[in-house]
Amino acid sequence: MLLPDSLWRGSSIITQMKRLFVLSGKERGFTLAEVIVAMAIISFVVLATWRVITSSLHSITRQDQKVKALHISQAHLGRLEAETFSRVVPENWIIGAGGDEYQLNIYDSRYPSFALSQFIKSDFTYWYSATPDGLGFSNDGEDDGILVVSADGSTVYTCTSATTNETGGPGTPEADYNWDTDEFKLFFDSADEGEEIQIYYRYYHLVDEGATIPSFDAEAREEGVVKLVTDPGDLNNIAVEEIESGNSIDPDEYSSTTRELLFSDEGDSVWIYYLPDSDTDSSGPDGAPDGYLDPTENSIVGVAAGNFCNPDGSATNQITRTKEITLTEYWRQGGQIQQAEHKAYILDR
Amino acid sequence: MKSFSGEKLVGKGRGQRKAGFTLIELLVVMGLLSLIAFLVYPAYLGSSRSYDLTDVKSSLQQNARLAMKRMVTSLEAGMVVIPKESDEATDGSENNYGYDKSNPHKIVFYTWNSTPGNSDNDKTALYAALPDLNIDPINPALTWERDEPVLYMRRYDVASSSWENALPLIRPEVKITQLNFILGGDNEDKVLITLELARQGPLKEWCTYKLVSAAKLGAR
Repeated sequence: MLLPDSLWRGSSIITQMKRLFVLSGKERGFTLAEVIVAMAIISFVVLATWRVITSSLHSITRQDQKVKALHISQAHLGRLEAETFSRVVPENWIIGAGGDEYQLNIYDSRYPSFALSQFIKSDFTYWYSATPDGLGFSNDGEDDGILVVSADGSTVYTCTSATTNETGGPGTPEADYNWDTDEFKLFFDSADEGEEIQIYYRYYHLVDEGATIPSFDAEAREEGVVKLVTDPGDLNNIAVEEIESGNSIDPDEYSSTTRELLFSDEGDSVWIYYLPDSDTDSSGPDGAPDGYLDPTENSIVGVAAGNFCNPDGSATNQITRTKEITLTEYWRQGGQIQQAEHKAYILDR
Repeated sequence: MKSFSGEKLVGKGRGQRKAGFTLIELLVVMGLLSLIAFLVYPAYLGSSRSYDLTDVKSSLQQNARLAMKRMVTSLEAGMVVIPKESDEATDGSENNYGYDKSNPHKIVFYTWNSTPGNSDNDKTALYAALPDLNIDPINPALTWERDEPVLYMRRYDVASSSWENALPLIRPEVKITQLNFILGGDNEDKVLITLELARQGPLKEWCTYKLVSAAKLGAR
């Protein structure tokens, strides 16, 4: 040892300490193998503990997103349940009621860009598959993403033209229409007047919320700041209306990370509606498109679709007094797209 | 009785070499244990805080969900929203429960009368007193504590011609940061409800939870 031998002499405690410090020939230290094994065991324990904890955190975050997704879905279902029955997808309308043109319910003239972003332009296998897996409609062979059929489901209407700035019907005898892809209008002819039709399509649904813009800093509140339920990405996807006057308000800033919307119109009560942010479609097998845009890291994207159903809950391709609505919410978790489905039945009261 | 001589500690009977741990061994073990503790503790702390945070969040969600459910159920049992201009929504003094678009954190509506033999309809109020420094706190007389916003429901008692005691819809430790009733539809019979609650998390940070729902008057 480094201590001089004279320091140890004459004391029983010191003698014992000396014994402790002085190692025998067989236990002078750890061998390299012992050190490596010990380090491996410690690393294993630390790694295992770390993995358990991170997995637990991951699970908590995932659960959090799932709960939020279901609430967003439920809120939209609530909106649909409060909607006029015929305006809920699949919409139903009697041709000629109020004119020969029909405006789809998702179109908002104040924010036409929303409707364009909401509409999912792709044919839906479910419409054309045989019953009971699908609705068994004849495939109209058109990739316009919308399906118009007669009340009894036997006649699929033909889309004669699908462009912007349509102004009228096709002018041919029966069961056809023109589709204005800009303003989301369907134009029919007098030949089909009085016929009831069902109109199928799918869409990314908006998220609605109300808020009173805080006019001062307080606990859990920040002046001028409203935190949104999910992430619209940027200001272009957000519409704000002052409740009392109905006038549009432009928020000053939006932060996608914190989901905070900053206003200078403090004290106003507003209605905020927005389209959650989405990315390119690459979530199918091997990165192939699956027909839906992917949610971004911070957003939850919901898709709405529907069909008529019988009193026993089975799907039918004829107009009945019950609609089955399916809302599917998508979000991103650990590089993968997760989804939660919510179904509801809406009655014609 | 055996005396504690200390000899056992050095294991005299079984030889000196395997008598116990040397100080070096103890120091090494303690060092390793400290290292493990040093590595694991932050993770444990994070996990513990995460657990507390989850507890806070689930409490917020539970409160919001239950409060929303009660509001939606009540509104769907209602018929017509009573506007602020109507005398029907006053309580005889300056307090007016009526719906006002400029202050959409309260709503009053008629429900079918629950008192047998009485033809008048019941009135129900859903209300949150949100604090505002610029204007007088909204009807503070209707809350128990002036500075704490309270979300509650009140029913009008036709027999006594007065509003019953308020029934709170959320727990006292939870704060209300947003409540809005937005009327829509051709007959203003559709109501979009936004409710945001807040509660302090384990690091004294404010956690918020916002829930949106819609109801149609008279849907049930």
